[in-house]
Amino acid sequence: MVDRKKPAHGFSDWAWQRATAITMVIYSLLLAVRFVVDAPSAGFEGWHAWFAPLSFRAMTLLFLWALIYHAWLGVKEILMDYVHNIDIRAKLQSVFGLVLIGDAVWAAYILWSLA
Amino acid sequence: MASPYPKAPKRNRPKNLNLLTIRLPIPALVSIMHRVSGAFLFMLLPLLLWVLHQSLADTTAYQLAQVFLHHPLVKLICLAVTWAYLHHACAGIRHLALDAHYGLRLNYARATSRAVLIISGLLTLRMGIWLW
Repeated sequence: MVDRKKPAHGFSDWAWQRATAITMVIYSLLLAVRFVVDAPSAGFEGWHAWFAPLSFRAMTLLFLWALIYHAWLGVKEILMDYVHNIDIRAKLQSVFGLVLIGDAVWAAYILWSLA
Repeated sequence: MASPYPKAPKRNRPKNLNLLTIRLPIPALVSIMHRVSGAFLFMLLPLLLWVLHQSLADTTAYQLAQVFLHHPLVKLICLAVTWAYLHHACAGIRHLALDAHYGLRLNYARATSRAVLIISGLLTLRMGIWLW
Protein backbone atom coordinates (compact mmCIF):
# COMPACT_ATOMS: atom_id res chain seq x y z
CA MET A 1 0.00 0.00 0.00
CA VAL A 2 1.15 3.51 -0.72
CA ASP A 3 2.09 5.44 2.39
CA ARG A 4 0.48 8.83 1.87
CA LYS A 5 2.27 10.35 4.85
CA LYS A 6 5.63 10.02 3.14
CA PRO A 7 6.57 12.80 0.76
CA ALA A 8 6.47 12.05 -2.98
CA HIS A 9 9.62 10.97 -4.80
CA GLY A 10 10.19 14.29 -6.56
CA PHE A 11 12.81 15.59 -4.17
CA SER A 12 14.82 12.41 -3.86
CA ASP A 13 14.95 12.08 -7.67
CA TRP A 14 16.13 15.68 -7.88
CA ALA A 15 18.77 15.11 -5.21
CA TRP A 16 20.00 11.81 -6.69
CA GLN A 17 20.27 13.37 -10.14
CA ARG A 18 22.64 15.99 -8.69
CA ALA A 19 24.57 13.55 -6.49
CA THR A 20 25.24 11.20 -9.41
CA ALA A 21 26.15 14.16 -11.64
CA ILE A 22 28.76 15.41 -9.16
CA THR A 23 30.17 11.87 -8.84
CA MET A 24 30.59 11.73 -12.62
CA VAL A 25 32.25 15.15 -12.84
CA ILE A 26 34.78 14.21 -10.13
CA TYR A 27 35.54 10.85 -11.78
CA SER A 28 35.92 12.46 -15.21
CA LEU A 29 38.45 14.96 -13.88
CA LEU A 30 40.40 12.25 -12.02
CA LEU A 31 40.38 10.09 -15.16
CA ALA A 32 41.71 12.96 -17.27
CA VAL A 33 44.46 13.63 -14.70
CA ARG A 34 45.41 9.96 -14.60
CA PHE A 35 45.59 9.86 -18.40
CA VAL A 36 48.07 12.72 -18.33
CA VAL A 37 50.30 11.73 -15.40
CA ASP A 38 50.04 7.94 -15.71
CA ALA A 39 49.11 7.12 -19.31
CA PRO A 40 48.55 3.42 -20.06
CA SER A 41 51.38 1.82 -22.02
CA ALA A 42 50.58 0.70 -25.55
CA GLY A 43 48.84 -2.56 -26.37
CA PHE A 44 46.53 -4.92 -24.55
CA GLU A 45 48.97 -5.65 -21.70
CA GLY A 46 49.37 -1.99 -20.78
CA TRP A 47 45.65 -1.30 -21.02
CA HIS A 48 44.81 -4.37 -18.95
CA ALA A 49 47.38 -3.42 -16.31
CA TRP A 50 45.93 0.09 -16.19
CA PHE A 51 42.68 -1.43 -14.93
CA ALA A 52 44.39 -3.75 -12.43
CA PRO A 53 44.32 -1.53 -9.29
CA LEU A 54 41.24 -2.32 -7.22
CA SER A 55 40.73 1.36 -6.38
CA PHE A 56 40.54 2.28 -10.07
CA ARG A 57 38.12 -0.52 -10.87
CA ALA A 58 35.95 0.39 -7.87
CA MET A 59 35.87 4.05 -8.88
CA THR A 60 35.10 3.16 -12.49
CA LEU A 61 32.23 0.93 -11.41
CA LEU A 62 30.92 3.65 -9.09
CA PHE A 63 31.07 6.07 -12.04
CA LEU A 64 29.23 3.67 -14.37
CA TRP A 65 26.54 2.94 -11.79
CA ALA A 66 26.13 6.67 -11.10
CA LEU A 67 25.83 7.22 -14.86
CA ILE A 68 23.26 4.44 -15.21
CA TYR A 69 21.11 5.69 -12.33
CA HIS A 70 21.40 9.26 -13.67
CA ALA A 71 20.27 7.95 -17.08
CA TRP A 72 17.30 6.21 -15.45
CA LEU A 73 16.15 9.48 -13.86
CA GLY A 74 16.59 11.27 -17.19
CA VAL A 75 14.74 8.60 -19.14
CA LYS A 76 11.80 8.80 -16.70
CA GLU A 77 11.71 12.59 -17.04
CA ILE A 78 11.77 12.50 -20.83
CA LEU A 79 9.03 9.84 -20.97
CA MET A 80 6.90 11.85 -18.53
CA ASP A 81 7.17 14.87 -20.82
CA TYR A 82 6.43 13.21 -24.15
CA VAL A 83 4.44 10.02 -23.55
CA HIS A 84 1.11 10.99 -22.04
CA ASN A 85 -0.62 7.60 -22.28
CA ILE A 86 0.12 6.06 -18.89
CA ASP A 87 -0.01 2.44 -20.11
CA ILE A 88 2.46 3.02 -22.91
CA ARG A 89 4.67 5.08 -20.62
CA ALA A 90 4.72 2.33 -17.99
CA LYS A 91 5.71 -0.22 -20.63
CA LEU A 92 8.46 1.97 -22.07
CA GLN A 93 9.75 2.67 -18.56
CA SER A 94 9.93 -1.06 -17.86
CA VAL A 95 11.80 -1.74 -21.10
CA PHE A 96 14.33 1.07 -20.58
CA GLY A 97 14.64 0.14 -16.90
CA LEU A 98 15.49 -3.45 -17.80
CA VAL A 99 18.04 -2.24 -20.37
CA LEU A 100 19.70 -0.10 -17.69
CA ILE A 101 19.71 -2.95 -15.13
CA GLY A 102 21.37 -5.06 -17.82
CA ASP A 103 23.94 -2.29 -18.39
CA ALA A 104 24.64 -2.14 -14.64
CA VAL A 105 25.20 -5.89 -14.33
CA TRP A 106 27.32 -5.89 -17.49
CA ALA A 107 29.49 -3.04 -16.16
CA ALA A 108 30.17 -4.98 -12.95
CA TYR A 109 30.95 -8.12 -14.95
CA ILE A 110 33.39 -6.30 -17.25
CA LEU A 111 35.33 -4.76 -14.38
CA TRP A 112 35.34 -7.78 -12.08
CA SER A 113 35.88 -10.57 -14.62
CA LEU A 114 39.37 -9.28 -15.37
CA ALA A 115 40.65 -9.68 -11.82
CA MET B 1 -6.07 3.59 -17.73
CA ALA B 2 -7.52 7.03 -18.34
CA SER B 3 -5.43 10.11 -17.64
CA PRO B 4 -5.88 11.26 -14.02
CA TYR B 5 -5.39 14.87 -15.08
CA PRO B 6 -8.38 17.11 -15.85
CA LYS B 7 -8.74 18.05 -19.50
CA ALA B 8 -7.58 21.55 -20.35
CA PRO B 9 -10.43 23.76 -21.56
CA LYS B 10 -10.43 24.21 -25.34
CA ARG B 11 -9.61 27.71 -26.46
CA ASN B 12 -8.67 29.13 -29.80
CA ARG B 13 -5.14 30.06 -29.01
CA PRO B 14 -2.63 30.84 -31.74
CA LYS B 15 -0.15 28.01 -32.22
CA ASN B 16 3.30 28.04 -33.72
CA LEU B 17 4.81 24.60 -33.68
CA ASN B 18 6.82 24.86 -36.89
CA LEU B 19 10.27 23.85 -35.69
CA LEU B 20 11.89 25.60 -38.63
CA THR B 21 10.48 29.01 -37.76
CA ILE B 22 10.85 28.88 -33.97
CA ARG B 23 13.89 30.86 -32.94
CA LEU B 24 15.06 29.57 -29.59
CA PRO B 25 16.71 31.91 -27.11
CA ILE B 26 20.23 30.63 -26.42
CA PRO B 27 19.47 29.29 -22.89
CA ALA B 28 16.57 27.31 -24.39
CA LEU B 29 18.91 25.97 -27.09
CA VAL B 30 21.39 24.78 -24.45
CA SER B 31 18.49 23.26 -22.50
CA ILE B 32 17.13 21.18 -25.39
CA MET B 33 20.66 20.16 -26.39
CA HIS B 34 21.18 19.00 -22.80
CA ARG B 35 18.18 16.70 -23.17
CA VAL B 36 19.08 15.46 -26.66
CA SER B 37 22.69 14.76 -25.68
CA GLY B 38 21.51 12.86 -22.59
CA ALA B 39 19.13 10.70 -24.62
CA PHE B 40 21.89 10.08 -27.18
CA LEU B 41 24.35 8.97 -24.48
CA PHE B 42 21.73 6.64 -23.01
CA MET B 43 21.24 5.02 -26.42
CA LEU B 44 24.96 4.60 -27.06
CA LEU B 45 25.80 3.26 -23.59
CA PRO B 46 25.55 -0.44 -24.60
CA LEU B 47 27.96 0.21 -27.48
CA LEU B 48 30.45 1.91 -25.14
CA LEU B 49 30.22 -0.97 -22.66
CA TRP B 50 30.80 -3.39 -25.52
CA VAL B 51 33.97 -1.57 -26.56
CA LEU B 52 35.21 -1.51 -22.95
CA HIS B 53 34.41 -5.22 -22.60
CA GLN B 54 36.27 -6.15 -25.80
CA SER B 55 39.26 -3.96 -24.97
CA LEU B 56 39.73 -5.67 -21.59
CA ALA B 57 38.76 -9.28 -22.41
CA ASP B 58 41.87 -10.64 -24.19
CA THR B 59 44.41 -9.78 -26.88
CA THR B 60 42.24 -10.87 -29.82
CA ALA B 61 39.20 -8.96 -28.57
CA TYR B 62 41.43 -5.96 -27.89
CA GLN B 63 42.63 -5.99 -31.49
CA LEU B 64 39.04 -6.33 -32.71
CA ALA B 65 38.05 -3.30 -30.65
CA GLN B 66 41.03 -1.40 -32.05
CA VAL B 67 40.07 -2.19 -35.66
CA PHE B 68 36.49 -1.19 -34.85
CA LEU B 69 37.56 2.12 -33.30
CA HIS B 70 39.78 2.97 -36.28
CA HIS B 71 36.91 2.85 -38.74
CA PRO B 72 36.24 6.46 -39.90
CA LEU B 73 32.51 6.20 -39.20
CA VAL B 74 33.14 4.85 -35.69
CA LYS B 75 35.61 7.67 -35.09
CA LEU B 76 32.87 10.11 -36.03
CA ILE B 77 30.50 8.42 -33.57
CA CYS B 78 33.23 8.64 -30.90
CA LEU B 79 33.50 12.35 -31.56
CA ALA B 80 29.70 12.72 -31.31
CA VAL B 81 29.71 10.82 -28.01
CA THR B 82 32.56 13.00 -26.74
CA TRP B 83 30.70 16.14 -27.70
CA ALA B 84 27.45 14.87 -26.16
CA TYR B 85 29.26 14.00 -22.91
CA LEU B 86 31.08 17.32 -22.71
CA HIS B 87 28.03 19.38 -23.59
CA HIS B 88 25.90 17.47 -21.10
CA ALA B 89 28.54 17.89 -18.38
CA CYS B 90 29.07 21.62 -19.01
CA ALA B 91 25.33 22.32 -19.22
CA GLY B 92 24.87 20.21 -16.08
CA ILE B 93 27.47 22.21 -14.15
CA ARG B 94 25.66 25.37 -15.27
CA HIS B 95 22.46 23.81 -13.96
CA LEU B 96 24.06 23.20 -10.55
CA ALA B 97 25.07 26.86 -10.44
CA LEU B 98 21.49 27.86 -11.26
CA ASP B 99 20.27 25.55 -8.46
CA ALA B 100 22.50 27.53 -6.09
CA HIS B 101 20.99 30.76 -7.49
CA TYR B 102 24.12 31.80 -9.34
CA GLY B 103 23.67 33.34 -12.77
CA LEU B 104 19.91 33.71 -12.68
CA ARG B 105 19.87 37.19 -14.26
CA LEU B 106 19.02 37.12 -17.96
CA ASN B 107 22.32 38.53 -19.19
CA TYR B 108 24.26 36.03 -17.07
CA ALA B 109 22.00 33.19 -18.17
CA ARG B 110 22.77 34.08 -21.79
CA ALA B 111 26.49 34.48 -21.18
CA THR B 112 26.81 31.15 -19.35
CA SER B 113 24.79 29.39 -22.08
CA ARG B 114 27.20 30.76 -24.67
CA ALA B 115 30.10 29.66 -22.45
CA VAL B 116 28.69 26.11 -22.30
CA LEU B 117 28.53 25.94 -26.09
CA ILE B 118 32.03 27.41 -26.56
CA ILE B 119 33.80 25.42 -23.83
CA SER B 120 32.25 22.07 -24.77
CA GLY B 121 32.94 22.85 -28.45
CA LEU B 122 36.60 23.64 -27.81
CA LEU B 123 37.10 20.57 -25.61
CA THR B 124 35.49 18.41 -28.32
CA LEU B 125 37.81 19.96 -30.91
CA ARG B 126 40.76 19.10 -28.69
CA MET B 127 39.56 15.51 -28.38
CA GLY B 128 38.98 15.39 -32.15
CA ILE B 129 42.58 16.43 -32.82
CA TRP B 130 43.71 13.72 -30.42
CA LEU B 131 41.48 11.13 -32.14
CA TRP B 132 42.79 11.84 -35.66
